[in-house]
Amino acid sequence: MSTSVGPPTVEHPQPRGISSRLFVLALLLLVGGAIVRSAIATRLDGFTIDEAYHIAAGVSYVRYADFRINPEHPPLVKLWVGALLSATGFHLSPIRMFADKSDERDFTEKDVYLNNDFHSVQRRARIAMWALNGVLSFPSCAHGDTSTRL
Amino acid sequence: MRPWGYFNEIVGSKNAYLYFSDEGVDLGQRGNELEQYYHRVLEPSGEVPFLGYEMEEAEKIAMHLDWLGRDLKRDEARLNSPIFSGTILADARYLGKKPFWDTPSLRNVVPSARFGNLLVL
Repeated sequence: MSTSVGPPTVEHPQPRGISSRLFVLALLLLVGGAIVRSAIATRLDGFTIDEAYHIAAGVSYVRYADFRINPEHPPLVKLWVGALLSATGFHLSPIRMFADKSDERDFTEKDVYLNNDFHSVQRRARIAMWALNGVLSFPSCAHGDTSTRL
Repeated sequence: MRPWGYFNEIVGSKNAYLYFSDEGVDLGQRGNELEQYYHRVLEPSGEVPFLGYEMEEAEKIAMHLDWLGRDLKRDEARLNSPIFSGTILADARYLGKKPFWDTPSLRNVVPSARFGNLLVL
């Protein structure tokens, strides 16, 4: 008769943490609060000097699948805003040859300010950005739902 | 509530433009308030302001603004005069002390109105 001898079993205490449900709720409250704060704090703001440029560039990416306008930044955010504006109505002039960056900027700004209602463009761009910030919290929610014990 | 940008505990927020001159102070985002002020106060009085605030040409046209320099023939005398009299809409980030192009005369004027870091002088 043989008896196997092994190290004694040690039970490790489970770390105390918050439940997945509470984590998701806290995350949604945090992100929602940030969006509300942004909406209040920037409610008087107009466009900064580059925003019209970025927005028209984003619409051109969506409409023409052409990334020649304002290619200096990664395109995700411009694509997102451009998609919403394109879907809800935005007049975009046909792309033409640009003499230089200044000419490219003039082209986009004329479209935003003179060929569209720029206040409406700004309102919709703000909504798109709040939505993007909200959407970006979903992966964290999903992660918290499957694995989190903080 | 006007959420002027926070800088630090020493300079506070209200007068931070005297110590900083970067895009954190202002990035031209007071255009909507400038437009409203222009049409509410300046336009009825016939005042054509000097527009020392970062705005694109198309934006100014879309807002139906008038400004010194829009019509160079009309404004030549006022722009060439060594003494300026009138309204200046100034971006506060350019009013702090600078080794070159310093503007102490503007820095020391008490603004008649203020919208964030857009000052009406």
